[in-house]
Amino acid sequence: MNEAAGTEPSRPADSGLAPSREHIKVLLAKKKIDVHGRGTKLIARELRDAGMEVVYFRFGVPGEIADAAVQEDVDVVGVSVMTSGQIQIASELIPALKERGVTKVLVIMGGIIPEVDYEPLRLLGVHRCFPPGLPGGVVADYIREHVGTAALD
Amino acid sequence: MTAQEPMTAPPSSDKFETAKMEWAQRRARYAGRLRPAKILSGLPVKTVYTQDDLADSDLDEMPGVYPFTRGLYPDGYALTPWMQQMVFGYGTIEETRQKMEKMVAEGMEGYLGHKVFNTVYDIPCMYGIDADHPEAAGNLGQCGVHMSTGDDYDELIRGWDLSSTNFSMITGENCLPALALLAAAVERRGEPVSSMHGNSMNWYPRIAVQDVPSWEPQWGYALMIDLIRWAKDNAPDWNPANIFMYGLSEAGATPVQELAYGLAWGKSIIDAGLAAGLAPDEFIGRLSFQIGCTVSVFEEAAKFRAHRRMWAKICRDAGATKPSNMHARVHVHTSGYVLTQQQLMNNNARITLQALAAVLGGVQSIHTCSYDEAVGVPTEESHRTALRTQQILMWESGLRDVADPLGGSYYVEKLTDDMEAAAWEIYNEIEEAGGYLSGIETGEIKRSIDNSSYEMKKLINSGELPVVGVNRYVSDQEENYEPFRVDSSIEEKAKARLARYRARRDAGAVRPALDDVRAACQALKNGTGSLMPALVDAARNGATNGEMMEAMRGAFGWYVSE
Amino acid sequence: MEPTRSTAELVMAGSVLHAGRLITQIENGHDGARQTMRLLVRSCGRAQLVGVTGPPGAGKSTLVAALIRQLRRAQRTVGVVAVDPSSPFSGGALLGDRDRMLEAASGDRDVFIRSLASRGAAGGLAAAVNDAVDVMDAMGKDVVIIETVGVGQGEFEISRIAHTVVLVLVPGYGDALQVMKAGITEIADVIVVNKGDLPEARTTLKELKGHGFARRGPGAGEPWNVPVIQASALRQEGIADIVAAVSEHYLFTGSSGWRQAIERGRRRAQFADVVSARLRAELLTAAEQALDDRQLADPWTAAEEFVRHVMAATAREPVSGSGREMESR
Repeated sequence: MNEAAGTEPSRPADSGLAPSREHIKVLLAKKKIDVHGRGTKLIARELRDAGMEVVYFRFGVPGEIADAAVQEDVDVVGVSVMTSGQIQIASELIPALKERGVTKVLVIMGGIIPEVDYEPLRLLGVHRCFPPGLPGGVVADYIREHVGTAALD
Repeated sequence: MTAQEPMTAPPSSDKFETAKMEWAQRRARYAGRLRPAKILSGLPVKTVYTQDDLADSDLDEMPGVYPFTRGLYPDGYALTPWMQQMVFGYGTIEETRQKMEKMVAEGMEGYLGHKVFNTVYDIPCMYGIDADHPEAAGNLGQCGVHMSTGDDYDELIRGWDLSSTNFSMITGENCLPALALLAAAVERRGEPVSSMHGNSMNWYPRIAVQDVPSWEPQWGYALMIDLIRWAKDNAPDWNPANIFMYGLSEAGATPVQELAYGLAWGKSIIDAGLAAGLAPDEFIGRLSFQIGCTVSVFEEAAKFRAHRRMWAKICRDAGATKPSNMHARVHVHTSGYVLTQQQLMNNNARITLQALAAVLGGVQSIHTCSYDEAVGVPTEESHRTALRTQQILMWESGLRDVADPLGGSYYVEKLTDDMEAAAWEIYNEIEEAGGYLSGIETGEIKRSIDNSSYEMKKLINSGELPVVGVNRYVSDQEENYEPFRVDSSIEEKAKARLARYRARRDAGAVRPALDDVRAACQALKNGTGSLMPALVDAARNGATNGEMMEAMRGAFGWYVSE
Repeated sequence: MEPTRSTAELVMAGSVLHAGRLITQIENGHDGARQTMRLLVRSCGRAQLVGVTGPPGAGKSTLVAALIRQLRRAQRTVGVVAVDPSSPFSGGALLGDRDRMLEAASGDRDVFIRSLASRGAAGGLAAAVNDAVDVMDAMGKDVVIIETVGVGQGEFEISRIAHTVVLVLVPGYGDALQVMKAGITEIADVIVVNKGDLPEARTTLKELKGHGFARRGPGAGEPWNVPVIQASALRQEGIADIVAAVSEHYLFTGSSGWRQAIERGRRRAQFADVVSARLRAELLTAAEQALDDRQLADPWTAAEEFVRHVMAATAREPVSGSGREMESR
């Protein structure tokens, strides 16, 4: 039994035409250019297992990520960084989101980001950073807890 | 009765039977409650192994003798210690150069006092874009060295004796241009290209598991063979292809999968080479491997033993006749994915176990990761500590003195056999479905490895697979670790180097040389000519890494696999 | 100003932000969305609707990316609705089609891509697809591409929305015969054999061409001979041929009254969908509440009685074609 999400597997969503419960929609992207996708792929699956709808694409520059965020009307934007550049990306991504009118969104980052960078990133607008290899459910739980109140200031 | 008739009846067989019975009696009360353990590959392991488990094993093997299960050389490390090939590289060639000199001073060395430089390129180089390309911004000199011009390569080889220095170039897709640039630099120094020692990664097939843009599969293989052929003709001591099994395990492959897919990868190169008209003994022996290593000590040691046995068989079946051409020459890069960001110092213990497993496994070369690998580029101290770990193993532990010390261990011999059998199963499946190349096209290998990654994560999530500091003995303490930062001035420095180079070179010579490269690309596609000579010529005429790659991308396509 | 009116205006003016939000509201069944759709729908009908379907692994998304590039070269604006299945266990979904279209759409404000999860819809096609298509149409997109995975009934659903259905197959997939037996080819207006560089492509192409598919529209008009085209989305080969075939089909359906029949069918289906959802929402709760334990012993009779009661109440107030009489009450 997969205990990763910490939730029961839900009943299949209503078939037919009645609207289903609202789903949290997440955009996950790796920075362009980068390598390794293992962590992001796993998070994508875990969030899917937690009932979220995850738009996952492999590489994006901040502009592309922001364009996707607005077209997909996501609740969460997650960027993975494995070969540094986190500060630069955050400093471009947040303004790009605001520029497109996206304000009610939770921004998270993960990957090879040292803890000492978490505060500078928070000041740039990133709500939370996650180290690699976290046990499952941590990211999903965080999202569920904060997605209603998140905003870019 | 499970045991076979022993070849010679040991005088103590009654004694053994008695011992087994007593053992069974002693544990009868709780035996049923013991939870069977599994190795990472999913194979079950017992609590005790005996001679009975080796009834079907072939133990009549010696190190240095086909199929080399016990090692490539008759006396193991006693004669030829493993090479300490620490990966390094960041910033421009200037910073990396300083690092090279420092490491030599720290005692990093290869065989017989030779020097080995295992330099990793930055991602813009791997992609084939120069310092002034817009996408290079924020990535220059990060996690790798930016080396793209003739000046850079001149600086790389300056002062080193080519006959006793190994240049291992961890390239990405820029493999052919990098080799061409190195060859041109060697020529400029007035020395023959045939004196070059080192490695080209040439690991195109890694796109089976890595979501990086690359060539279309058929061209990827054609380019690989082109480099192999050029190396055979021009630099016979050069290792022209590295089978990057490490990439497979980092993406999630279990040790058995890493073994099986890695061998299939190697086989696909053999097939491509033979199809291109190369004779087996001309190229098979120069292929080499780069393999990961987790902390599952005995599983890894068994993996390396099984690997040698299996590769020897594959090479012989493919037509290799010289025993040295059936050698699986292995460089181990300790697995990064098992290191944690939490409680960084714990990683030292992990790295030590990984290096231990590699040494017990009898590999030829080792890179040990640094304990802060999960937070960024290693600091000087962490990098040195990783090197010292190897040196302690080398000089203090006594592991060097005996070849294949685990040979004859009931457990390890059985594990070797079992892993071999499990790997053959996967290997045969892949071969029947069309081989590794087909696996790239269908995405089958990626799916299978992604699933393993997912399954492993589930085990970690549930706690079934303990990870100290992550799902056990978790600490709330904040890590105030300041990682190594690559100076942001590197970007400007790299761009300035490029600008200076372009200003100095004869632009008039570059353009026609790149035209020739484009023509050679077409010739390669048509099967009427080769590419490397044109690249070397372009390098002689001042073309940069990015310029050569641009020409190649135009011809060979650039896409991300399924 | 009513909020719904300004949303509709903004969408019609091309606002990606409002279109994106509107589609979310549609997905979640918000009342406000329905109101906005009523205002938008009259601006619909201009866009050319192209469905792209086929088995997993056929390279549909890469093909759509190639189509986007081709259409953009011809200065046509593009909308894409990409549908992926929701997990029946968790209700979540991995929406990975956008990834392949990234390069084709990067930085281009005239391309709007939206990924939708099927959310367990009976046909495998999200209920919101129809409306999402309308939103993109109202935004002014020249072409709207709907991409779905051809498992379950997804392909058949798509044929009720799109003007032209492109079926993407891969050489050697099962074999062409299997595919034909499954009936999937019945809804295809254009068949593409993708990954044309693979050796089996020739054979598959021959088999399919040899069959000579044709589709009949309403009435006794000329049938449409389904072209079978070889392509390599990766290498951008055959793409121009596909776009040409799609355009030809579009014109063909226009001149033969076929397109009108498709559109009528689609609006009919949308009407039925909304009526069903609204009635369900309005009546079902009331019905369940009205039910007492005695009636519960025989649910069939109880249900019949309820329906008869509702029908009788409706008969007292005849429904006119525009519904205006009901509104004025």
